[in-house]
Amino acid sequence: MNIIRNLFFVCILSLGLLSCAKDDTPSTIQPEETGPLQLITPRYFGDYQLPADNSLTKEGVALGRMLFYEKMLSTNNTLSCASCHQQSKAFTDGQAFSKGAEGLLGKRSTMSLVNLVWNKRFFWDGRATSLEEQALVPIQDPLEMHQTLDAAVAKLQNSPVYPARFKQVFGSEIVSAQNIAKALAQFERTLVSSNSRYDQYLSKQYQPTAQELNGETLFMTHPQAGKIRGGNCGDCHGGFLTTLGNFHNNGLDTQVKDNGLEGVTGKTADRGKFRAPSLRNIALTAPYMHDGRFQTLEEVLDHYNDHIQVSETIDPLILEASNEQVVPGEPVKLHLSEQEKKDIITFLHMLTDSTFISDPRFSDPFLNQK
Amino acid sequence: MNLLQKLSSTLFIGLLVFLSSCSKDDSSPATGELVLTFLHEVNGQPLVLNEQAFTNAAGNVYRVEKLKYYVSNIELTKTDGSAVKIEDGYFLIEQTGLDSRLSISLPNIPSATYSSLSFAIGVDSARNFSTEMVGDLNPNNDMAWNWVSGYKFFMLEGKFTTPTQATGAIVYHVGGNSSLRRVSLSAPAGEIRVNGNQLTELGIGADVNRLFDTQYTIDLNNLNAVMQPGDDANQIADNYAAGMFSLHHVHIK
Repeated sequence: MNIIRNLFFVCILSLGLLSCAKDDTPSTIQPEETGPLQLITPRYFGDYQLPADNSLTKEGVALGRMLFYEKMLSTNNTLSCASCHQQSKAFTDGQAFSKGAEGLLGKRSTMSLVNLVWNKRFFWDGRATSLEEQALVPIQDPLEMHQTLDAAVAKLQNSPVYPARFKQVFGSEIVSAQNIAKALAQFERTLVSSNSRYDQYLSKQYQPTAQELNGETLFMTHPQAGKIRGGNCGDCHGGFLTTLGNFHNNGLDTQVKDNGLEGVTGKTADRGKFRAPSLRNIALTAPYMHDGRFQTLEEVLDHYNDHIQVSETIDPLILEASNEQVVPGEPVKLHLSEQEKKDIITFLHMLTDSTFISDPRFSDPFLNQK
Repeated sequence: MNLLQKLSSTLFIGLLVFLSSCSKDDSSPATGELVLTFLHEVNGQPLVLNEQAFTNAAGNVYRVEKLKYYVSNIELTKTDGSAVKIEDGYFLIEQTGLDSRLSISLPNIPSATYSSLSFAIGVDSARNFSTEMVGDLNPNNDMAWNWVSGYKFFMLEGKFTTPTQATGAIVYHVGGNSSLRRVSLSAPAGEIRVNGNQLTELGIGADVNRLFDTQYTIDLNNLNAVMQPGDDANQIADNYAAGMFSLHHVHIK
């Protein structure tokens, strides 16, 4: 049954290649296969749920990948999602703030895209609760792609390639914003990173160095003065996904310049809180924090170790944590040694997944076309 | 194989329908739904996160930012003394800034009159160290240390004011086999009726102040952080097991 189906599509594909050989339309980007797509994820990442109305299909993911790299989604056809979410940088762009289609700077740093099926809230301030909802925001944002959904839909509708692709995935040639979002979300859900040295260690294929192991232990441990030394990272970046998906004020400023989660909930208790992002591939995603204020991981460690700024909404997990006795009211310091900070950074480098950033399934599908 | 499976399950369902239609000449179904609703409060006032300050027995003024705990191994005792156990029921109860889940719905409870219910706060050791995700057991729900240390059973985070008017943090993460506790609650009028025509709701009060003053009086200036299994965690667990939970009401809808 499967063999017959595969054979059938191989035939269709070859027909497509043959028939397209004479014109220039890039319709050769046919999915090699169609049908349901099963994500392969390690057990230790835990269960996840996909939306009932947008299960993964090979053709849906293939369309989403095209749209992710599609510059027509921006007002002047200059930017695609991938302009700021570059695969080589674990889907970031190396900037504190990215330039939009019209040259305006964004207000928050580009987030990396990784292991998104476990995410419940998106953006630094959590204002979207699904990838489908998230995907349409940057298209319209004046500081990003700045295009109305109607304009984006019209461009795709008039293109020689997309109507047929939408028909294949959604059963209708009529392009809709909702289906753009669904396809983008499908592609983004396939961005699973699970082959870092940390993963290889978890699956017993790699023996970490003593420094890496010490870094891991420090990373995951909440310190108790005089008893247990810890780097206090895992309280927010916990679990194998290195994020618990929560929002925290991590002590960047006493007077915040960006209200973060408060802007979404309207609660002053959420002032200056931002999503604790996954730290997978963190060595590739500088600069750091929602405003890209830190250039290096060393600066990040120095912040948490020595420069916590206490304000009303500071996270209790930070306020309380130190390797020395905490005196309420005194400056909050972790009191890690220089060596301990280095060990934690060594562990952070273990989270780099070189196969993820070179995986051809996530690369620009138009690259071989032009 | 698949066809066989489908066929056999269809047969099985058919058999069930047949059996139940035969045995039930009266119209009352054999099972009903029981809903446990947890009412977070402080000395009878509703728990308001962040904004509202409360005072405990030691005189500490504190605010709560997050309250989460596992309820598992629920057991109901009938008035005749026999028990109904909820197998594989692991439920996360949480009140945080963004998430609130305060109810547990138990369908298929045998129709009967029950006099008490009991449940564990936490996760039994068999499941605690298993990688199998049953019910709400999931390493990504902010309640797992890791698969070596197991799940956190109970979590309270917040802030308190010190004698010098400084702000201190409250971080109670309670877990480990030695802190697994059972809570037993008797029905006020001696009965919780469950039957298939109605929904029975039990309101279970959970008073945060009792964390600090049942078995042990806890002064936050002395014990404001518990992050590992051990004696401190056990004290907190003893306190919440001894008097945090009460049966508030039984509603039949």
